Amino acid sequence: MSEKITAQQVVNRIQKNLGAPWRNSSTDVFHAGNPEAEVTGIVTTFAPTLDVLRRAVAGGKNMIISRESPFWIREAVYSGSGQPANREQVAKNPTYLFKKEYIGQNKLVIWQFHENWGGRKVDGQLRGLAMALGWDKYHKTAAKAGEQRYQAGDCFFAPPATSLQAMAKSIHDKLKVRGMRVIGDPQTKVTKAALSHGFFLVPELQRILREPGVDAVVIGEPVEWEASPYFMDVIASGQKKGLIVLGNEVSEEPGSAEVAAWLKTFLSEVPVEWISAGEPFWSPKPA
Amino acid sequence: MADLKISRRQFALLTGSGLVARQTARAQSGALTAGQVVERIQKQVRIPWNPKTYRDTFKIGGPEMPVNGIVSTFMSTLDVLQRAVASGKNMIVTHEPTFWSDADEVKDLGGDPMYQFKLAFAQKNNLVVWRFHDHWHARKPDGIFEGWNRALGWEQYQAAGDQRVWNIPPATLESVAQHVAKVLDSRSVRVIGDPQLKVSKVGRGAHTLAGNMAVLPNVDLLLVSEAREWDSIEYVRDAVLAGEKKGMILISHEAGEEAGMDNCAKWLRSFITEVPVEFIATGDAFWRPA
Repeated sequence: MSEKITAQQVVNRIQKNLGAPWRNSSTDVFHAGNPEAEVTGIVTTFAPTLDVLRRAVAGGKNMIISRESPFWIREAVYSGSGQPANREQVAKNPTYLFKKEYIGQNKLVIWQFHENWGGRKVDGQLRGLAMALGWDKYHKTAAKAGEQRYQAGDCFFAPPATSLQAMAKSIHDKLKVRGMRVIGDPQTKVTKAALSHGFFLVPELQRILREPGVDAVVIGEPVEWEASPYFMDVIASGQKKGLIVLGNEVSEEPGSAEVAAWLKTFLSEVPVEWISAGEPFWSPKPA
Repeated sequence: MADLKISRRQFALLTGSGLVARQTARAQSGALTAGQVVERIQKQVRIPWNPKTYRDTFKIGGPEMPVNGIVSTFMSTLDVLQRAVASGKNMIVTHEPTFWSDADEVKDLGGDPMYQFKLAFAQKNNLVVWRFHDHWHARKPDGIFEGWNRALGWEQYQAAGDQRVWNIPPATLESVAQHVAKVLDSRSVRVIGDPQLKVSKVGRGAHTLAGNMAVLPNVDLLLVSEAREWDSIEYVRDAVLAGEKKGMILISHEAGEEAGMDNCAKWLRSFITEVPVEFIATGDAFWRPA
């Protein structure tokens, strides 16, 4: 028989094994459930959607470790995105009430693991995405011998020469992205690509573009008055480059598989499973 | 002209008084200046001008510059600036930023090659870029929505007194998404919900979770131009998963506002006759691979 472990003990174990100083964070907290509850199994995911919660319940697992929050709010609101959600507004919302009731009825415990996961030496989200793309073998790592690869910014790859269109199609088919969006001439030749995940801001784009020879930048979610128009201007200035926009979930979900694999290295009491939230979108066929 | 060398900040503080426009008018004697164009816009928009706006200010060039033609556009991308030069027009009235942040903050951009390239191109071609965002939205009716609703073909379905709600004839979510993509010439439309869901009451959402949460409970279909994927998108996905009969159509920021700047060009022509006024579409830069 395996030993018992509570949700709080799981978190303590994570803190101990992080390999970086633990930072108090507005994201990495219990958003629902009792931290003292005994854990029957752990599910990692990008977003604890109702669908992910139902699949966790069906699989007999009661602790969810998610990258995003179950009630959609980030305390650290991005300044360009206006006012933060009002907690009173959320507390009256019918979808919130439905989800909260489901979580309570099924005695689920939801803990978010975002900022501290990003504080580790290796960028697990970047590594996960590179693996999911099958790009590990193309990694032009900046790591020296004996150093770990995929540290923050170790994000450049040299795949076999291709076109922007062919690269986009290949990623589209590999990750089954329905809502992918691309900027740039489809015939742009690509020999070197940069990889990013999640929210993508101008300083990261500027840093990537300082790397010589990058023709394609693969990202999660840009702000459409910031990084994506910056990229449009790069193209209009005569540079031949392309931007492949995967969507936030598509770019981050493989990182949740990394979290599950990492948890298994120091948690043997309960089963750990990654459940993909899946891409939220579909795209209409032309009329 | 030396006495007219004032900073953008000073200009923003002065515009309410009309002082700049009087000075520029005197200085140029005859040629229409950018400051005069702005003063006319401030008068014609018929709402009190907010002297604290950081958006509706000059981004490149200043009020003293002579204007030989005006381009209105959704966003003053480099491509739009190049097309303005090609058409012989030097004043750009843009709804969105020029330097890739809401406040067009340039203090950290000094060493940025794109900033240098864009600014040098504009200066070489005597371009003057002025943003028209807050007051065009605050106008009654909202100048962006006035044009956008017309482009959507839904004017007759608009709810009384609300430019952001429509009661359309019942249609499937998929067919509405196809219609929106077609009339807005957008290749990047993304949808959440059952394609066969019948929708009738449509509400325009916002960039924020708070804005979208205020609308979705009251409509069948939320139509949003750019929203953050970790909050608004996951909220709508959960609403659908909770069994609510809802859908969401997510369009690009550009597709959600471009037609409102075509409308702006028409409006500018009603009170600016000295120089040509042209709308240049920024265009939907996104395409899909399959």
